[in-house]
Amino acid sequence: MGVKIFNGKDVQDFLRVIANLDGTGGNERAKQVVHRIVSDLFKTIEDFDLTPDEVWLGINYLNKLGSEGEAALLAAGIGLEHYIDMRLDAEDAELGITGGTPRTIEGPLYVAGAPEQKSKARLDKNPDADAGPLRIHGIVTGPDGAPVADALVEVWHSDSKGFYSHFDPTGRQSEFNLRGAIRTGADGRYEVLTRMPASYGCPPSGATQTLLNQLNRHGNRPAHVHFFVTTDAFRKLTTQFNIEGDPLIWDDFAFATREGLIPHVVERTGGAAVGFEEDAYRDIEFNIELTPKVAGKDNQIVERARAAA
Amino acid sequence: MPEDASLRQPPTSARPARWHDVLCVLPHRDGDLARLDELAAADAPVVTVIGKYNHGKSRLLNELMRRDAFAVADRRQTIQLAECRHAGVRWLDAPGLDADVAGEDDRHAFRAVWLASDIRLFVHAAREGELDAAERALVETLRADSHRTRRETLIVVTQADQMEDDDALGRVVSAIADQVPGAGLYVVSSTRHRRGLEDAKTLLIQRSGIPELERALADALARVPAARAHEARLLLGEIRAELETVRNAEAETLASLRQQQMAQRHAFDDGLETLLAVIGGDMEEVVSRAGPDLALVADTGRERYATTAAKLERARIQVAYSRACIRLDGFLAGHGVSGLPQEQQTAAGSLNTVMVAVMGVSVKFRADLRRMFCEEAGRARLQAAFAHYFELSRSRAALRDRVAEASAALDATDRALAALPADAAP
Repeated sequence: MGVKIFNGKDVQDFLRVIANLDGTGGNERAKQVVHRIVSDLFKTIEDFDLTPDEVWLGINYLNKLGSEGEAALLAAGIGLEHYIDMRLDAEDAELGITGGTPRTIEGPLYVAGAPEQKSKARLDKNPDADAGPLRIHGIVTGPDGAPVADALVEVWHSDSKGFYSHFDPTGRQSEFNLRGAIRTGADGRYEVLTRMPASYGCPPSGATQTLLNQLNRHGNRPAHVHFFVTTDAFRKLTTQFNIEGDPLIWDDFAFATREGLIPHVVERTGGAAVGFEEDAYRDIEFNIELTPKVAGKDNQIVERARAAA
Repeated sequence: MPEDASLRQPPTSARPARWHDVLCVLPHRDGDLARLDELAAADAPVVTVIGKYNHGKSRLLNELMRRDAFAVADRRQTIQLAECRHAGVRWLDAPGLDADVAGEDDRHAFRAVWLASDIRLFVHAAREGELDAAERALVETLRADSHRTRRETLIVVTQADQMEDDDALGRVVSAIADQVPGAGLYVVSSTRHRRGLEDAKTLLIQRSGIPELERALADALARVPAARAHEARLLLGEIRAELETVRNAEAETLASLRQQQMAQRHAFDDGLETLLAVIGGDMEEVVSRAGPDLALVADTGRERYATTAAKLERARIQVAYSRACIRLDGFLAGHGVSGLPQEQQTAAGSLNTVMVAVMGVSVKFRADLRRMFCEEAGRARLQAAFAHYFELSRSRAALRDRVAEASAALDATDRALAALPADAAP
């Protein structure tokens, strides 16, 4: 049938009432945003002639998504998180800020409170037979290339099953396993000894992957290591690097991969000298260049709900 | 109080240590068990005098004992159970059986009438005329008990001397006889008996009715040993039969719960095995596509927003895997398995599922799917892991609790049966 009523006066007046656009009180910005989102939703229903059953399927899906706690996962999957990064990049370009280690998404699995260590830390607290030894190290510099002392480098990543400590439903990981907070010395250097993370994805029968199935998309991410780098002088960096060689690197469901965030993985021997039990290990050098504040302020600070332990 | 008279408060409930196991199962048999204790003690026979206050109970006892062992007054008396020994008999004066008797008195009365007594003298004053409703009800109960336990009840019409004349007395006695047909009825006067003794007047003693009552009592007392043996057998037999009935019901409950437990597990195991075999077959097709496994071929940065054959292949594999998981999830939900046990739950709600805990979230490539679904060992691993969480599910745990409860109840009843003596010996 495909009736067209969206542009009629009735529907347009109705939309203004829904958002209380012409009424007083409330939050003006919220009114505008709700008006736009509901308008676009109505238009989508009209353009695709969605049936009532289809609309209710969508509404029930929102309940499923919420009850499974997967809204943040879907936000990554439908590119919302990456779109925000694209906008921040464009903003930097407008401000003329160039260089620096590229930022990328934070993801939902950061936990505040990892014990701080000086220059070097061992992150693996639990055995993981399927994950080989991995050394990550680098130097934190400012835009001028000079080492930054007292930078706090926070690192977190998954185990070989794709689980993070504090979020491991098998209960096999102890607190802050594969998580660390390293304070750089005068040389700006940090070093962590850990185990290789795995590529992982959305819960296979969860709400996000269920929607992705309809798009014939997978919900997987390449193996990666998350970073926060915090200093007094520069903007806080939120980023991740991917493990070179992972076939998913340019096929990340969360679109977090960036040029400049795929450091080389080097096979090395002599693990005992750096502190491993094994002789053979992999080595990744990941140097970090921070960017200046804008008019004395960090214009990229993101406030969101985060876990703490 | 004469020196050989003992006033004591005997226990009013069964001996806990001896009967603990039986009482656990049959708490309502407390009275019968206490009676068994009395029988096992094999003490002298007990004659209990029952009746409303001021109907001459204590005076009758004093005459039967030939001494003033029990206090007599015209106000309500005999609040506490008193026991005296005389002529190889224990005499009990029960608290007055009246509408206002409650609390402590009731307990004493219960003990006197039901636990301790071998013979009851039900006392009713002639001047009151017929038995009232409460008295009739009690007499009926006592006579029913006599029939069951062979404990005898003698009905004694007292204070015969207070009636105007013999006609008036005769009318009352005949009316009472009509109320309780077939009962032994004795008419006495304690006053005449006392005077007869004091003045040595044999005729007055005869006319008091006490000698006739004493003869009837002596006959009844001679029957007490046989009655006691009968009662002990009766009570033990009843209790044993009730325990066996309880035991049979409990054994049946336990067997049916265990059957349910096994049937649930079999349904789960069989259903899962069948589903895994079906998924294994489907997955075989998914992973055996000819040609190189493009999913393992990395794309380039230039292709980040492009559709490539490798991306399509990764999507194909993952969507097939996801669909298999959704089918498994549906099966698990049907068997009450979905959320993780409390202690395994994490801050991320999306990960708190049995599916995630068992399957992990690591990326599955063809080799992984083949190992998990297409090989016997992989399916066996999944079968065992899901069965583990099946047993941890709420409904399984609840059923396990019910089995444990039923098993404990059966054990308790077995202990009770073992604690029950073959006969009434102490």
